[in-house]
Amino acid sequence: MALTEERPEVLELESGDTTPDVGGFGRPSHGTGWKAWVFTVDHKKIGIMYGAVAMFWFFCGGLEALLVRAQLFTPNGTVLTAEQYNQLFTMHAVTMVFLVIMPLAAAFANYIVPLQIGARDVAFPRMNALGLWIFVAAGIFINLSWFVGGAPDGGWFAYAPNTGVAFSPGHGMDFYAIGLQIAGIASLIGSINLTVTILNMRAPGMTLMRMPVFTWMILVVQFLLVFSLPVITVALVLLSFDRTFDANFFNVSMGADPLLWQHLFWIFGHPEVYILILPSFGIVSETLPVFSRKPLFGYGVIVISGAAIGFMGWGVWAHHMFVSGMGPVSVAAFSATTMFIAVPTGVKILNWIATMWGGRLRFTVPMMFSISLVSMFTIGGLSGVMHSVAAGDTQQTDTYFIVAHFHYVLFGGALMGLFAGMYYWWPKAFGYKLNETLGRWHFWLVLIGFNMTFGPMHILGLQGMARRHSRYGPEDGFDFWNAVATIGAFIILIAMLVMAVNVVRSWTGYRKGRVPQEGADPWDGRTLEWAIPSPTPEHNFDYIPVVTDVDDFWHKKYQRDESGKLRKVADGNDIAQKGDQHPHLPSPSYWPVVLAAGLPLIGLGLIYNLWITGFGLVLLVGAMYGWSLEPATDPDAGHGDGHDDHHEPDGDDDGSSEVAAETEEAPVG
Amino acid sequence: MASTRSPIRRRFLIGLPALVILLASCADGRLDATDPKGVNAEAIWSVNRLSGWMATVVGIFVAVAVVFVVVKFRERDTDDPDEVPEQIHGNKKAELTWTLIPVGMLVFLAVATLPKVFDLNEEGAGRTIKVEGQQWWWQFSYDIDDDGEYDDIITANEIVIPVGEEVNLEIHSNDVIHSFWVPQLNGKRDAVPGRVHPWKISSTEPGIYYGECTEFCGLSHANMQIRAVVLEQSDFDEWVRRQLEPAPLAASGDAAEGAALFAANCVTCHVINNGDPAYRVAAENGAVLQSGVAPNLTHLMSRTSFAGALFEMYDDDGNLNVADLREWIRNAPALKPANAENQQGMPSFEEKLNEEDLDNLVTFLQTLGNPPILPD
Amino acid sequence: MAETTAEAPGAVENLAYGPTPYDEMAHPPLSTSVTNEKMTMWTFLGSDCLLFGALISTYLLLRNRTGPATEGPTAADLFDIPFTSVSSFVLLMSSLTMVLAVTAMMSANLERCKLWLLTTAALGSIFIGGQVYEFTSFYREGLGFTTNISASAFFTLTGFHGVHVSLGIVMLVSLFMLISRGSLTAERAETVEIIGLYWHFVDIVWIVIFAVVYLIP
Repeated sequence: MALTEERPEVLELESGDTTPDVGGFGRPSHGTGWKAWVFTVDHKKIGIMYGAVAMFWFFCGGLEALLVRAQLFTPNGTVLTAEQYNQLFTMHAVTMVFLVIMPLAAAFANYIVPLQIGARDVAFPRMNALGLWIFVAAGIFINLSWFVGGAPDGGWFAYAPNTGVAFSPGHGMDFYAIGLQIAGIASLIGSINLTVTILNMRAPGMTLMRMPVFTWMILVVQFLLVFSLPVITVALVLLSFDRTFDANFFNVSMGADPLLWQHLFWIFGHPEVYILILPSFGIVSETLPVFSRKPLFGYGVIVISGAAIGFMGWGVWAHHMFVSGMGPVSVAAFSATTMFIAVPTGVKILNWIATMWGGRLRFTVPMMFSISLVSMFTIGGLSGVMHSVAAGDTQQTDTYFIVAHFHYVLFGGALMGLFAGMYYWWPKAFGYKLNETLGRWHFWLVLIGFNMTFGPMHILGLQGMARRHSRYGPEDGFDFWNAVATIGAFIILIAMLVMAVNVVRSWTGYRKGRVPQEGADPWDGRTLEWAIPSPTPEHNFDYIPVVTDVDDFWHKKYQRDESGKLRKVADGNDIAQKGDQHPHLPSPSYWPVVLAAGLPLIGLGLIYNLWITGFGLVLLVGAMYGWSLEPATDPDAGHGDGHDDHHEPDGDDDGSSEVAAETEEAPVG
Repeated sequence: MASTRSPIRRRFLIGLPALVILLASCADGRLDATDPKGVNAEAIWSVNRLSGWMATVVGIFVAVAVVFVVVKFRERDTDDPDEVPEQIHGNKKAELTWTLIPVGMLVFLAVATLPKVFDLNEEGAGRTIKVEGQQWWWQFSYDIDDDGEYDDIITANEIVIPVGEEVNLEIHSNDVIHSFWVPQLNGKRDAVPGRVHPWKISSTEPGIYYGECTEFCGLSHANMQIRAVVLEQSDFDEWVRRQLEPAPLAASGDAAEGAALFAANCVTCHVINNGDPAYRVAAENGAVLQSGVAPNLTHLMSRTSFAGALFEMYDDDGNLNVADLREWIRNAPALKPANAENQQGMPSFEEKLNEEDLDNLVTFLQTLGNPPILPD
Repeated sequence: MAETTAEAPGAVENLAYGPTPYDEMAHPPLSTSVTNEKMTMWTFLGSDCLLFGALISTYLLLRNRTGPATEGPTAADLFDIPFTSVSSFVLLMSSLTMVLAVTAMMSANLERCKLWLLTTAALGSIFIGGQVYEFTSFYREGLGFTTNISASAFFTLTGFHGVHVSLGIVMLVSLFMLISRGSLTAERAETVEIIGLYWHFVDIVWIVIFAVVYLIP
């Protein structure tokens, strides 16, 4: 769905460029135009598409949140009906968790990780494309429910038995259960691929303890995904079987225990929290050293604490269930484990501050977002410790205090980090920086709007405002802070529009020559991705680097002179690779996108008519057949694949990807 | 919250928990957990104050550190661009310190708070009341004659307890998961179908305390409120005495017409003068609700509210709220979202009952029970 | 530390990362001694462990639960332990033939590999046949998928396993056909080994299911 918009002049070039074999089992060549995106297996284009699609869903999920806030602006709000409200808060969470933050992290993981480990691509490029297109299919599938009788309305946590057919007779929850299974397949494919890539495709000399922290955190996240996704899959399968085939898993009159769903959901759901936050921890562990001009303080400790968070994250899930009626022994045990997961998190925060200590801080936009992550996440983390006190949590849970807490973690933490990453790596992906002034506006407006929206929710929670209530009474005393929160939410909207304007203006400015082309190393970076030209050439590295240290590229630029004083000996832009070699690259493929199209059809069929499922299966099996029989490479690969002339024109070409990124955002903005 | 307006000072926001607690303690909402009136609510609030202050202290420390670093180590125009800051890769002692200090604080927090989990789950000394959640109202049943059956008093949305008594609750659900919460008396406890959850409430002073369902339970989750009416012991005894009287059956006049209408339209779900738990009566009539039960109306007039405690039964002068009661009977889903086509909630009677019918029904309902006994 | 690559052969320009011996190869060396394909299978199987872990836990939690509407026998009431023991033994033996197939492939004995692959697929098919028989006999005795909660849990757990075995059979037959067509040769013996990993995993899962579901009362 994404990125089909291209500049017309590029579209003209594309005719006659693709030359598949007869029989349909050939491979498309490295064409231009939309085919260059839809059939691509290039991890960089896939990463950009993940980002663009995720930003589209971000605006959708934000719109949902704004409607929720509009309803709560006054007591007894009449903007929405209870039914619409329930659908909106459910879809806001589903969208933001599964269609925004996870794929945004996937965008950076796909684009940056191979560059940081010195690889030419991921381990399985076609599988990578498959993961993207299945994710796209899942997003469309879940949101299709809006147009065919109503979106899911049982909450993203979908507690049984409220989500059974008896209590949710519409098809919304079917779309939820099946849609998330499809999204799960996408994540599983992506996570296995990235795990293998990071473990096996590192450049010579890059031992695990020389990997950049971002890559480390992505590795931890992939492990969490690999092991947590099957658990939610089982939960969703049980729910689908109940709803579609009349099974009894959550049928209380047959003796079901509704807590089964909660355990399965949160065994996935809590690692999921770390899946959402750790990529951002990785991002700021890159940006803070670069903009402080100092190495990360306690690299080993940060890596180990990241892994420890991932590991301990498996032992805390039931803190979501302190009032669900588990025995006091379980409650106390999970309370204790939850408290102690704060230790590695706190260590990270202090290490980041120590990283800045004694540095010379450059307040670029990515640095500002990174510092705001450190501060805002701390607030969320500390309120998290308050929730870990199980006795206290009996008052806090399911109130707006919790809403405040996880928005400080997921917005103040995860999203701030992802914004930092966006501004930081934009020149690497597109060859120019986003405008710093507009970036600062974006930053300050987000920070103010965010704190105005979610800060008051702490107070509302203590005042007793419960979550997921479509209205509150005038006698409850919630009016003032709800009004403040709603105004804050609209400030966030303005901030995001500023960001959209920034993206458009920087891109048009770049095309017209007002925004300068950046060199390989615009930020004086420390890791391998800055040792290759901007935008990244299609083959990434002319020569596979040999690594001897953490922050290897920095050591190429700074060395001690005879007196032992650290001096800059070379400029990163000068010693970076030139992108003038042409190694053999994997060819594009038709089949990932075809295969992905089969899955939502199967899902629709399970809801409406098994004939559609049959059609989807035919597509799926046909695509697998085509996939396994397509030749290993495109006959033109290696010479005619269009990156001979990539120095200037390629920069232009990557600019066009930005059109796509922009058209995603424009309609909503 | 003043700090949000001043972006320069944004990092002071880390002190937010402190502000939050200060501001919230002066709030005067009716669901305010920071103004505890029960033993358990007080215990929980003391725990929350402890964790809140610890979080505030740590937050301020981090905020000061961040602000200091940002101010002190920012790049200045006077800096020598060739000067490279000292490349410090770490410091074992520092790392160890800031690992052990949080560990110590958390051990303290654990030791101080984990026993409370067990305290909260201890059985109270007083009577036991059965609590049943269903879409979208609460039922409370009392066992007055100590025969083990909660069938002596059955009431809806308002739980009446004597002051000072630690009342045990036996929490059930008849359909989906709900959560029982009266913030000034105690924390929450979920009502899970197929499970019985013990919990308790108590109050140190008479009054009406408000509560809500806090586990998302479908369409009208927001409209499933609770009132805990705490009475002096003598008032409570009088309340029990009155509740044990059967409702008089209307013999003549408009009320008798209303009784006939009630028998024709309402008894499929509602019960008056039960001996049996309400749901059994409803089941014999062919249960039409997903939860199988609607409020028992025997002593309707003795309650301060109706329809999931959404509407006041009486105005400030003690006059019956006829307008809302009539509208409620006429078209309940318009006042409180429900999904009657799927047997969730009260259906509309707009088609079946005319204005006179509604008047007669209200007249009949007025014969059900005495006015409520209110706390002083 | 930084000088190593600066001295790399052929560094005409002053590049941070100039040409290295690795660039002569189509693919740079892997960081571990495990190939990407095999590592993928291991990772996938790790994930699958959690899938079956969740399904088995679900079954154990639900197998004896009853409610007011429960009727019909539980799955455990109908177990035919001798029959299932035999089919379990058949599946266990298929692991042995799978080992023989991998060994034959390693020693480039394609014909023998094909033979053992077919045998393995046949044993797997006997197991699936046994499962189909078991399901139908349960159904005839009044235990359908929707009859009660233990039935739903039992059929879902064993059904998921059956689907895994069936996919394994498809893969084994595909290997057989690829070798017959000559598209899979001894150089890529590891492909057989990787499918073998999957097959052993499915067997081990069955041992766990048989022990935990059938044998523990």
